[in-house]
Amino acid sequence: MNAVATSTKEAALAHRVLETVREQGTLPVSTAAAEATLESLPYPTSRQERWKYTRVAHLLGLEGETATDTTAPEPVLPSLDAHRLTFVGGRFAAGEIVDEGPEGCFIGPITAALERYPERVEALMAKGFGKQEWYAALQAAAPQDGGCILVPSGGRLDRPVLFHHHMPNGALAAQPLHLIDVAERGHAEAILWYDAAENATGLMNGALNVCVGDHAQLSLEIVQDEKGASSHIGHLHFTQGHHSDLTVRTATACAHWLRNDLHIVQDGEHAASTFHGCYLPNGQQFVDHHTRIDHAYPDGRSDELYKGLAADRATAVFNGKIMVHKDAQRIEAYQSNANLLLGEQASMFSKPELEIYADDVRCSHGCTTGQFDAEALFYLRSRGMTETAAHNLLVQAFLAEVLDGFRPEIRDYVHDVYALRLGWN
Amino acid sequence: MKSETNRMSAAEENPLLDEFTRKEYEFGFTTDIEADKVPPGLNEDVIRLISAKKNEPQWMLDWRLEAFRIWLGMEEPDWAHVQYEKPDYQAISYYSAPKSKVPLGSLDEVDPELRATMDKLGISMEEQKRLSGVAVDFVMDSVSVATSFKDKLAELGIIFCSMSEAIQEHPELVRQHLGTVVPVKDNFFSALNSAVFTDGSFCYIPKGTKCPMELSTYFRINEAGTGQFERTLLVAEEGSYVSYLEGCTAPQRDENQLHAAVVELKAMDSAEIKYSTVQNWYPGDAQGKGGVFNFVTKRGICETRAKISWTQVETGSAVTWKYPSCILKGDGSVGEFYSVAVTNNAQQADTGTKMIHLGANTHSTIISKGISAGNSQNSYRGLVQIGPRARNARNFSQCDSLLMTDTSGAHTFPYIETKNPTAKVEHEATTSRIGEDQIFYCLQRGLTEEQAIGLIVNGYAKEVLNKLPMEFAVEARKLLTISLEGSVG
Repeated sequence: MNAVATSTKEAALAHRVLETVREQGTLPVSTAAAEATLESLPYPTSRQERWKYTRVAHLLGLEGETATDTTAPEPVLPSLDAHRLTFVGGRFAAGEIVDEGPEGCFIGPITAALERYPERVEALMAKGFGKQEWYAALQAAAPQDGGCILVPSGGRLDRPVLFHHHMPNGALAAQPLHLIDVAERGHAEAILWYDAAENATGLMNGALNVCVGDHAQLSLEIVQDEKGASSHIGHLHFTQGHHSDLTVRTATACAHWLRNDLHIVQDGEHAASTFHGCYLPNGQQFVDHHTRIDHAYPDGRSDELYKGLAADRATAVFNGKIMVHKDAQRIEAYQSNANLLLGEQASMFSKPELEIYADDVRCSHGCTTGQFDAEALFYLRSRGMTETAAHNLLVQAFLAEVLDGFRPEIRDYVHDVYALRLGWN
Repeated sequence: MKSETNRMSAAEENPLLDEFTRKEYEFGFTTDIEADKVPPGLNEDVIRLISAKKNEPQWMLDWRLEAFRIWLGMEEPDWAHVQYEKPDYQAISYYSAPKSKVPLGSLDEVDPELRATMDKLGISMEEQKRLSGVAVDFVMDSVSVATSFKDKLAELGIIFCSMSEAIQEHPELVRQHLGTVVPVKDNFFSALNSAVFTDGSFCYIPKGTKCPMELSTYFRINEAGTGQFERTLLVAEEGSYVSYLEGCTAPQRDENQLHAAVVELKAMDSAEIKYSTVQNWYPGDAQGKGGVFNFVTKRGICETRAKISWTQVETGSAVTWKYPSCILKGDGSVGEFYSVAVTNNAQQADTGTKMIHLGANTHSTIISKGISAGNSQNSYRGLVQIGPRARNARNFSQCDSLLMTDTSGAHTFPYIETKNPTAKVEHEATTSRIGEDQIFYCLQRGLTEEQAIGLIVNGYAKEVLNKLPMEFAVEARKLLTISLEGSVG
């Protein structure tokens, strides 16, 4: 559809981003197809359904500097026992590579994985992950280094893996790619951590490609804790084999401008997917969670829960789509989105969609936007709590349903960030 | 449970399904009446001709021409979840009026053929008049040919007439309100309608008046290759009440027929409008050949403490694109939308509503029940928008879908936009199919499968059917049962 010629502004942005990113080093992979796609796609505008509520015009002015300060940041979650890899502005900065040989597990940067196991990594990268978006194509046209996890058949990681990507100060552009492949009957736990320095104003346009094999399990926790005024676009793609089990939890702790595109494809029968998320924009922040699950085979299950709150003048967007393909019978898919609006000028845009082409399914979605329950507030206040304290307690209770699913270290960390930002006690 | 590998074909398994899918359109007939028809095509001259034929004042012609110029610069929307071959707007004749025009209000002088048509449709005007107290403004193609109860309504100051008559007799009212709810440039079809509309209904309820009877209009597309562009304007002054019924059936045609109507409702302070529709136009044959394209813009505006309630039962049309909406402008105003949409064979429907909350303490309720059978696609698309000044606005939406076959689709696309923290918006949707256990239960108690499905579907749609005026509720129940008997997949 409307494949208009990219105007000079968009072309200039693409040029600047690609230039800067390539200067810092990109993965040695073929990008010709992505570049062609990029040229053929229109720049997102609010006239496109998927970008109806998401303004990306401000990104057109991005300068795209080269990083000057590339020192590795302080480790996050210091108490957590994990395999840690740190990346700064799309480059590998610190961390130990785990390599158990061709038949074993591998944890390390993609550059190292490509050198040691080119066929395994290339096979993974060749898998068709959706690239039909301008920014996704931009990312694919110059992918930078990120973490790679390869778990062989029946393999199991002894500890969780933590990929920490840090955006340094300045108007930098970074396009890291993370890869996770859990082969059949494998098991892995991973944490993706994105943060940014106080004076970061750049663009984090990152991707994550995940394959969960037959009977395999993956639990992934994503934390976005970006101070400063940087923008974040995430392209998160998951493919699941039959009888696989995937859990993705996303906590947007802090983000100035964020768009997450999460797409799960159940590519086999009896797959189960759980994806939960929470967000809490305040000030002038903008947070947008787009999710889509494709039930392409019968007997799949999915459970989606996104909860959030928009305060002050912030805007939150949720768009969830459940797609049940023809002949994908006996699907059970549940989606729930609950929102609290706390600011007089805050906005919430929610679009929970169902698209169903099979008849023997049980699908439902629910969406609410509202305010505090007056009775609950009254109860707390009659027991001596101030209005602020009562509000804070109710917000914590509201978010607990999602936050409690994270491991305790992350739950406490995100809770502390929220507390600091909203002034909880 | 049936084993997957040894599954029988749908026809063997369920002879009723087979029978149903071959069911022909019951109201498929055409009336052979000579018609006064403009050659196909659309340009300024055609609009001038339509306007001249209807003896319209200059301002009306100017308005049409302006709309036509706007339309020329617009593109046909393609965002709806429907696929169809776009009509060739130059191949449509934009004016068709029965030649045997009779003076309005005199039923006896109506062409006997027309009377027979009405009888086939089950609308005996005398019966309607005598038994149900309904005033019928019967529209055949584009010109109103019979109107009843007019005098009775006139006593109360209620104006209920065709749009062309209103333009002649009440130009000030038409001029004041026309296009204020659905502006000309609102969308492609509203612009087209504004340029070429030939007739429709006009209704004006004066201040403080409760309309003593249900007002109704029967639309019927009769002339091959004629697009029908109805324009309805309904104004309820302060403190008044009116219930308006609209029902449609169309005869069978092999070429697609376009229907792009515009309905505008204005509910002034504390007024209430109840607008009910039963739509049963020709849906095309089992392959989707023929059938009506129904691209309708319906919208109402509510002033302070006013209420607009839309109820619709949609069983016909090959392609439906229809979103009856409420702009809740005044404080304390209420909008309601109750809908049952049934699609079968190759029908496609993208329908829903828009509730735009602008005033404080505004409430809206949306109950939408979709039923998909055959190879049809049925989508609910709705917008709930809470503006920054709509304090304590409240919305509840429920969208349920029932799937009858594994080749049909049911989709839900709700848009929920909230810009006020005191608002409460709830949306829920479910998709399921008729449970085998439910049918088993009914069969076990001596019902036939047909009766069981009729019972279950009518129960499923009960919340909406109960909102219909009695005369329509009976017809709607019949329609649902006819449309769906034996179609469980």
